[in-house]
Amino acid sequence: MATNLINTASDFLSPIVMQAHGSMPAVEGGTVELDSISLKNPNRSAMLVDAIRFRWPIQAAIVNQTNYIGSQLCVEMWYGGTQLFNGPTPIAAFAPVRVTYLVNPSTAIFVLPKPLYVPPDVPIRVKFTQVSPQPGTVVPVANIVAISMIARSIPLGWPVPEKVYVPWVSSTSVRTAVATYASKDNELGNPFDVPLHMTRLVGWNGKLATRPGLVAGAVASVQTIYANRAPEFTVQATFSNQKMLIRDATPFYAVFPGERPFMKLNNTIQPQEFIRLYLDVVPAGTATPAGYGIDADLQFTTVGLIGYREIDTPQGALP
Amino acid sequence: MNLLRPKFPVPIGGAPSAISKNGAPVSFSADSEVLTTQGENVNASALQSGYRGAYFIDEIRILLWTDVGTIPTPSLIVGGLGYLSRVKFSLGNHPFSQKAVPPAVLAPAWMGSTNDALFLTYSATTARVFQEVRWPLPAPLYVEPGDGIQANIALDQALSAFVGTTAEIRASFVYIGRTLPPGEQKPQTRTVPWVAHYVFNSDNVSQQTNDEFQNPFTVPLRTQRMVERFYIVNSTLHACLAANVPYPGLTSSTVLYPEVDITDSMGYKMTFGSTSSMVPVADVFDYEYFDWTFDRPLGPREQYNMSFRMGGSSNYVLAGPYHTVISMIGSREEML
Repeated sequence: MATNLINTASDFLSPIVMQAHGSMPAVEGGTVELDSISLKNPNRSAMLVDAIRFRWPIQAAIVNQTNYIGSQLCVEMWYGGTQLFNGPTPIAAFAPVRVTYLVNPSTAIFVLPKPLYVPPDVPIRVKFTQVSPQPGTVVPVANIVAISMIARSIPLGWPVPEKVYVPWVSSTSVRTAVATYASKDNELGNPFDVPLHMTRLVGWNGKLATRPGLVAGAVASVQTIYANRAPEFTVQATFSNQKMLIRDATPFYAVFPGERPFMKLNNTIQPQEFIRLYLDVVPAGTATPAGYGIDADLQFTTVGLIGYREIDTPQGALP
Repeated sequence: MNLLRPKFPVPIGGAPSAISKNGAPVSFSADSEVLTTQGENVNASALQSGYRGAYFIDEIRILLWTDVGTIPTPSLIVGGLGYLSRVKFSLGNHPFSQKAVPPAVLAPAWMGSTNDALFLTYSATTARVFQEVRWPLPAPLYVEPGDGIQANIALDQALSAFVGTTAEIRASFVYIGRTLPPGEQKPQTRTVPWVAHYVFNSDNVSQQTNDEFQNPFTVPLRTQRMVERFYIVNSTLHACLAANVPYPGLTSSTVLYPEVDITDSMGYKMTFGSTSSMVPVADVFDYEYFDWTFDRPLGPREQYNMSFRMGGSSNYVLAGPYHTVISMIGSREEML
């Protein structure tokens, strides 16, 4: 008999951390897929996955950590055969990056919008891809990438829940030096035939410090320009049905504050609808601040949409 | 119980309590005397609140401080204060731990004057070394009128090399809570915290816990989280941020790193890695808060078991010895 785990006491759930890591080759477009066996519950029972942590131990070769994870190091995940990401997605677009080792951001955590029920025979696959944010100018680096999956084991024999909440992550990234940018219609949206519950937008601009008082790896002069241009760097967003999401051109860092760079949504987007995002670093009529240069651009900016869809689980319907 | 929302991220600043939220805020504090001698024990006076009514404590803050001028060579970096000292608490005949605990593993959040990634800019210009540990209790702790928490602090004998004869270290204990609102009945039981800890010393090739993480009570122990801190104890005593623990194969890596395998006495595996059951500690605990938060009751005599070893190539240099300190924090219900 199906049941709803939400209303069940957690007393029988045993916490578990599963870890996997791999070596990223120093090739643009290089990929590494982690060993999915090590991401299976060793207790051979189903589990609820709550969060996924990412770690890339510091190497001297990565000169600009911020841009590395902001747009270069991308992730894809699958739940059995079901895609959870809309293609390779920069880590910073879905997992607020943490500055944990002095000035170098080297970790991030992705708290799933709702715990994901994973049957014992369904693998979670994770693949990293190295995408140069500026083809031909940024040298790909070899690096170790690691994840930890934070979950809770469900005892053997427990019934399958009535619904499974499957996350969906989509994003848009600026990969060229432009002053204005509009996301594509197939980037931030709901490609499914069921409603998608949106939980948050995550925004990241690699050229500005991620936390007050901490410099997050960018070249100082560029960063100074961006820090001083923060009021001019704006974001707007509308839904494809013309409803407004961010009505006015709003400073990017006011919508996505450095400490907690996300905007809560708690809304539903219907099938085939999408969000169109506009970025502008030099709004019309705005004079470039004196002394800060005019070469400011939007490169390394990325915005992700986090949500989930509900899948009914008649026996055997799981991926 | 909300199964869907475990505590991510860890709340900092005390767990709000439905039962106590209507009360008036209260705060009490007690100071230790100067700690100058290795192994010295100093009692902070039992807190007599001065308040005639009952109250709840939501959070305990421990502020440790010293002056650089009195710290001998080798120098003591701020994170070390929380490991150099050991604290014990009790309320009446209810102890919070079996043995004295390093304050650094009481809580996922701390701040200090230097070498602290979380609060790097907090007071970077000051020369004074201090560390504050904020411990949000697993649940508000009910204190009867006239009762008070007994706090005890000592310097750890084994780490005495890091304290010179001129060193002066002090501690303040601050208790943040709320009064029992007028007209509200006192609870039938009180939720008393329980902390256990274990130190893996890299001088040993491998180590296993015994019954350190056992529930010693006859009632369930609700375990809330584990906290991990990683120290290098050679020429200096300081906290090494676990996020930087490397992997084999890193060209820039020249150090070994601690790995752990955690199971429980019911047979559940709690860690699982890609190369073996051993997982780098840096991947088990949260990278920013150095903790693993969950909600799991341990029955009487049930326990968590941990095995440790040092990972990495044998060609690497052991820059330690390393001390990996792991705590288990929980609570049990005691009849009033």
